[in-house]
Amino acid sequence: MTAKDIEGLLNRVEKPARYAGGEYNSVYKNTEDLGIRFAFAFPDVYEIAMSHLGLRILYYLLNEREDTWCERVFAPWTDMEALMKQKGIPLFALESRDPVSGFDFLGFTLQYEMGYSNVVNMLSLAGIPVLSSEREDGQPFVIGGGPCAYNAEPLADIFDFFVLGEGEEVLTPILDTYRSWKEKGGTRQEFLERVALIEGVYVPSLYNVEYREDGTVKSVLPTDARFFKRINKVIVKDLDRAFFPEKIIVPFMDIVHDRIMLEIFRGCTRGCRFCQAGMVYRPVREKSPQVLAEQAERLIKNTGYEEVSLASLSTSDYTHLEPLVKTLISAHGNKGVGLSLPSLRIDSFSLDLIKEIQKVRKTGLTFAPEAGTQRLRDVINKGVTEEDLMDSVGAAFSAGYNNVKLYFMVGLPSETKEDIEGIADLVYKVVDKYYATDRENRGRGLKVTVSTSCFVPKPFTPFQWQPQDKIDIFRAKQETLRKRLKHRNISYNWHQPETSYLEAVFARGDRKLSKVLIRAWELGCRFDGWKEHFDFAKWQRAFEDCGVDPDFYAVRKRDYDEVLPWDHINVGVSREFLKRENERAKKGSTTPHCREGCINCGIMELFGGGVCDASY
Amino acid sequence: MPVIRTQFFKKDTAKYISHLDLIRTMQRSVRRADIPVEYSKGFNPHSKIAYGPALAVGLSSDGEFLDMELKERMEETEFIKRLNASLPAGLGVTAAEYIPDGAPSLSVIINAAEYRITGRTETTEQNVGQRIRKFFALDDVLIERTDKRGREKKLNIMPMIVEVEKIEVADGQVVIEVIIDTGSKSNLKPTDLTGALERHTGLLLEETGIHRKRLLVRRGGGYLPPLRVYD
Repeated sequence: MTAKDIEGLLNRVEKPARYAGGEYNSVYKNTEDLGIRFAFAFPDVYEIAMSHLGLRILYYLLNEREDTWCERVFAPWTDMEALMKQKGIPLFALESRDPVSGFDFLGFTLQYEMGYSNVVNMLSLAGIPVLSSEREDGQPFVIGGGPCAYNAEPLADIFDFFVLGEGEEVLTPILDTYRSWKEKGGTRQEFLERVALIEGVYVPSLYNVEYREDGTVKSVLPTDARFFKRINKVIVKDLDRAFFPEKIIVPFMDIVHDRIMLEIFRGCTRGCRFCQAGMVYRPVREKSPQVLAEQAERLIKNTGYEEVSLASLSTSDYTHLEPLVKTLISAHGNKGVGLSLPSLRIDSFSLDLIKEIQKVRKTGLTFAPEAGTQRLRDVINKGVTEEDLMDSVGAAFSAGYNNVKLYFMVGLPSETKEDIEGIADLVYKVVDKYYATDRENRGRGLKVTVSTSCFVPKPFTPFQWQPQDKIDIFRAKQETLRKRLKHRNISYNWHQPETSYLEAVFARGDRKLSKVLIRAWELGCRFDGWKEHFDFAKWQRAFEDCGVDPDFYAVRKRDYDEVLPWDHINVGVSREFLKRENERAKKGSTTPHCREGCINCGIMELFGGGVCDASY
Repeated sequence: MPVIRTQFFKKDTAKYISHLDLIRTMQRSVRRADIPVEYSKGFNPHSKIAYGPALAVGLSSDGEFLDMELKERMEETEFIKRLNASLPAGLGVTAAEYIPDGAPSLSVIINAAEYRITGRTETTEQNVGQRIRKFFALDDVLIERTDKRGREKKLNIMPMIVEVEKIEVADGQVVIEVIIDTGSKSNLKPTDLTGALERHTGLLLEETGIHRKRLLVRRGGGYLPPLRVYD
């Protein structure tokens, strides 16, 4: 049985639309005219994968090429996986239903560490060797990109190469190189050695890692002087002129972010010290409101979506936010198209803006104070005050909002009992603010949803040297909050600390973890980001079987002179800057955001002046 | 406000989408087609489109219906052309007509549907045809059904079978065409019928073999197409 006739299977699985393809705006091509078959892979289930903005952009970018057909392939849910195994159907692309094992490229986007076991599982379902060293001519090149590619050392044995930075810039030279290599009929090794010379490409097999006796890295060096000693990420310099699709696939089924995502800027001017995205996506580059209005117009026309969401790391930092919101609402509000503004910051939240949005569609409000006390918010450089939060929720309650979400982290560096109690205190102040709001203005029935995640120290952040809390300490902190947050208006959610622990291991891991990952998959691990599938005991066994101590990666404090497994990757933000910020964190002193003055993070040295929109 | 009654099909990949997915897909297709649909008021405006009885996931159909309220009248042919240009593969409009003010809704008038059921058999054809006919001649065939409160109860499906139109057995292929109760008053799920049929006849029905030919209005011993029922 081949995937071409999966019809009989689709009636037997949950949500068959995950595998059926044929969505509006999906791209179909004649395979005879093609030089390159590219499978864009996301190691999670359809509704998550399809919500990813990068997929939406790169799918059309690649399909602009006449010689290339980019299709999609996602992790089949466990019911479909079982049926595919039973019937001998290999992993297939959604559009053509052809097995991906015959493709030229299998390109994974690596958004979070907990998807790694799904990568291994998808390779296995495709019948592609899990180890890059075992792949032969005629098998696809397995490549990876996205934020986790910046420290992809735990995946070094599995991937043929990684793309560092923004795919719009680097995929075209990679595919051009591939075509000329394929026409000449070279070996796999020859292609890897050629592609390694492209800026932004990291071929792990062309780098040797040596370790010290204590298990830390001694050096990471290229096997030949031709290759970069440090690999720089690449970026799009002018977002207004960067490729952005005029249409996106409109899924039949409900997905997580089922709306148009209009990317208003990349990078972030805030320097929250825990935030990897805020560091690795630098420099800040804004799109002009004129370009955005045109893109919104075309996307609405070509998709029929009823909602546009402004996507960025910190919506309210967009310079032209108010005029943009007004333009979009006056142009599309009468057609029932709503606007949502995620990632609003507490301090610059304006009531006018809420009222503007509310004309069309009422969405819930989310605020992220991240920490419970001013001292700790200064340590992480969050830069918001209790007054900011109270002003914002006060304005929201007066405007009739009664549903507020608050996000915090536990386990932040230097955190004490007071900081934990501070979270609960702050939540109760929000509740009090609601009851202090004029009865006539406020909505009926307050609901405050409090979520705490467990802090995971990430590479390329000022906290990359910091230890993570141990699992039982996380649990004790969550227990304190659980007891304090018992109230009819409050619901409290917390993250499983075991998941965050594993995330910390892989986020700052080295190449020794490849074998642990493969072992865990052999033991049955997959969909680790899903509570119902995550099996910590299996992971513990995998570490034991491989003789690797996970604590070494998660809870160990690093010294500044230690070589970190990702030191040979250059994201632009300098090690010196990160060190300086970590020291300032220890003193509890904040660093102003980039628009108040350049803080010399290092990004200008990598890309030269004129690239960062925050500096003039 | 003018209301346009529309007949459409749902097949190929589109048959794997649920009724909720269909509602969303239609709403977006209408916006793409720039059809002047009316929106509901309130915080989450949605286009005013009402559907006939839902089709189960995995089933194809040639005769589904919806009523759409428009802000202003547009030519029926133009409506069909524009909507078809905007619908994804597997969905398509075959007819559309305005209904008079105050005409009853689809869910009020539709009470039956015609299905085509296909299957395979390995036994001698004579036998199979007889067994199928014998099944449809039974007075009582009980199935288990859970009611809204979660209680199990037995249900006789035979009174809900309105008419058996065709039983055809040739080259190991079985084709059955049947009209059954469909709608809010009395509703027989086609899969309940095929399940009972398999149990009683040993027939193997194809997983993809249930097709709804059309939704119907049954009145005084005859059948009317929903498009022209205005009272």
